[in-house]
Amino acid sequence: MTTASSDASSTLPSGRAKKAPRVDGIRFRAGAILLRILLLVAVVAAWQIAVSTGAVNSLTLPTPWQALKAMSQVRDGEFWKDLSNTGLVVLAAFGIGGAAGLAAGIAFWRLPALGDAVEPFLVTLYATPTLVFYPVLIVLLGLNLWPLILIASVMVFMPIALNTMIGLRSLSPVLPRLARSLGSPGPVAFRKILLPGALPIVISGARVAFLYATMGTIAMEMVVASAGLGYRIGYDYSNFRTQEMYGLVLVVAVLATGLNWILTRVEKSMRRDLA
Amino acid sequence: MTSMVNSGVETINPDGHDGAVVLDGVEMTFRNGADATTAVADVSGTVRAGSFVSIVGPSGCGKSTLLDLVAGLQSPTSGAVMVDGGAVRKPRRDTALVFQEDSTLHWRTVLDNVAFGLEMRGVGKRERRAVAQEMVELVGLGGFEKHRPRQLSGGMRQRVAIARALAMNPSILLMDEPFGALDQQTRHHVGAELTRIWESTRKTVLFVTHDVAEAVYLSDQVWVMSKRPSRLSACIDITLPRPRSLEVMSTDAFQHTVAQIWEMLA
Amino acid sequence: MSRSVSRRRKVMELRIGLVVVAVLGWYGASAASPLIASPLDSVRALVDQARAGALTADCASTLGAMLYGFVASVVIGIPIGYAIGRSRLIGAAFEPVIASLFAVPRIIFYPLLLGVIGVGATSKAWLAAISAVFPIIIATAGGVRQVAPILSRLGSSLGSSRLKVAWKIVLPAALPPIMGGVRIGFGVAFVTVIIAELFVAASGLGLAVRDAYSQLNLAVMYGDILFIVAVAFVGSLALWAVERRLQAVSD
Repeated sequence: MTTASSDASSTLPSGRAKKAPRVDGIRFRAGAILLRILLLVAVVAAWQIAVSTGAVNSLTLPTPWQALKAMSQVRDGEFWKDLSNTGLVVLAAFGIGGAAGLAAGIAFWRLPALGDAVEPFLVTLYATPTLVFYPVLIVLLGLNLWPLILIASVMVFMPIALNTMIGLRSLSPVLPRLARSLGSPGPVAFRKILLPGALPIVISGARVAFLYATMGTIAMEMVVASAGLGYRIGYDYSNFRTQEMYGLVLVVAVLATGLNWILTRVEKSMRRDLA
Repeated sequence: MTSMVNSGVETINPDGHDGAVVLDGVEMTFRNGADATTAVADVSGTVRAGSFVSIVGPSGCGKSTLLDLVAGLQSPTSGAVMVDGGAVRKPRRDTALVFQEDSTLHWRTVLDNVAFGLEMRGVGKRERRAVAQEMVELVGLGGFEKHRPRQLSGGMRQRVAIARALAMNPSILLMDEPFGALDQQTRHHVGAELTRIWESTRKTVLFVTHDVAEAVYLSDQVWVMSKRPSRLSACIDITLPRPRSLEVMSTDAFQHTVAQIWEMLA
Repeated sequence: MSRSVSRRRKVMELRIGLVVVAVLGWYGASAASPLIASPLDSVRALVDQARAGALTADCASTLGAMLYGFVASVVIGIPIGYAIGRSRLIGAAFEPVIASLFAVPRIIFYPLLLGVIGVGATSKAWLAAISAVFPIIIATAGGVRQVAPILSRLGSSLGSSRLKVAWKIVLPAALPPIMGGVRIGFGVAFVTVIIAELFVAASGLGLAVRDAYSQLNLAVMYGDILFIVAVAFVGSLALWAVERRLQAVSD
């Protein structure tokens, strides 16, 4: 990822004067992987020791091996139903929040005063536990999935609106003039000239937004839902199904990591095409 | 190539100052994987204590590397670097560097910037502030002590860097194209200031620059480096009388020397 | 300059306008539905609670857990972020790890903490810490990385130890982006604690909301929600102002 460059004039802090710089490349990458493995080993070892020595009650914390086994048993339960429930909410939120975010981002770009006015509220929104509005939304929307979808949409809305605005602002101001000189009317000009230019930054925002939606949805499900991955974890907890819970927690962690990895690859390839 | 290696300490430090530098067959080769670049090959020269030596040469010829070697921040691949008869092995406390890029700390006042070198070396607050105050006035920034770097021009910021270096009372001042980022008029002005400051403090100065006229104006001796792998093409003594004002730049002697050096670089 | 003054007035007017619209919307909703308390009733309920001291314990529990977790995340996060930003090897090794872990919803580890530590402020605090540590690490690493290389060279040319260079040069230079991460971390810590309290807790503002909800004590519930939003508002704006002051100094 990082290019190897021997900056010969870079110097070490006190101590020995620096000789010729290190060899980079293979040894460097191997070193990085080694450090990661060391971290993993350290974490698992600490975990195992905590359970074995009884520092932690083995009823509340299974051994790494037991947790691993529980992971494989996860698909025997209602896993797929839960997964599809969560996925539904996330996708719906992404669609709604994304559309709203794009529109808002464009509005904030066109009307800078509006963007400035809204900024402190958006900043606050980041720090507000939007879940507290759940009771209000139940009253307004009913006891179904819509309150969850709406709250998750807000989590999607913010990074997309912000990135759209920033992406559009980063464009050279000559582009709208170009559009006019080519005689293209507003929406067409926007689509063909401005939006592609802003798209790379928007795509980064979209990845973050999708992740936030996922994290937020699972968190909310733990508290209020009756279905979904988060709900299942809460359910296992309340019913003392420790093994199943740990298995599910690990599976969700792995899935989230995998999702992030996929989204990052998609983002990188899309940005490369557009750049 | 003119080689002037002196071993007699008396000749090197005629006025009793410290800060004589001797480079003896210095070579510096950088390795990057399988490639090796020799920046400097077999440079030998002597800097008398208390003298002002400029180093000129084409870009990338290793001029900055020489400064690093004298400062003890790097070790030569072969050859020896000696200060006051002793070999340079690790970063030295009697040298101070001034860089081309703006190295002022934007979150500190001018006074605290100038005191910074001393602070990092563990000097107490009252003492270092007193020294810094002196230096601030010496470089002509009296009255700006409480200002912040972003309120100053480029030339003033470089004067802060010079003041910081001087505050550490080094025997050798190493300056790496310090005026390179400034416009010409500022360069002349700060250059005249530097001469005035040097004439009152008489430190040994090694001054790297690509501006030949500036080199001739400021120095007692100009080292001309060749293209990479660099050798010392010549050491030109500058015999123009001191103190020098900017008018000396229009004299024939001056122009002649500058032309002479340009020819060597071509 | 008159233009910027009139612009700022316009912005202020817009902000006030937005707040008025929100409050009016609230009034409208409360008139339309018996299940939504009016702004006035909510504020009154909140003030009554505060006067009776009913909020104090919950407030202390929430804010205490949040601050504890936040401070822990800063103390842990900044050094780690620094190491990742300064050392190419450590950065290459661990930055992908942080980035992938970032996607995992930290709340799913709350049951784990509850089991190991037990219900109470400590488990909430640690959950807040492991949540807030991520934006802090990422912001610190980024900020440290973009410190002008000349400043590092200055530090090493003075022959100073790594610690001194870090403390006196690199960290101050990277302070604005670090503050950005700290501000986000603060928000994350707060949100995490409230959500944890909505799930399982012994005390706290989130629990107060949940209790009010289950007892159908609507005015109290809305009052508490308003209070939570107000705390988030004040806290994040304060940190935002600090961050902007730092940015102004460094430009």
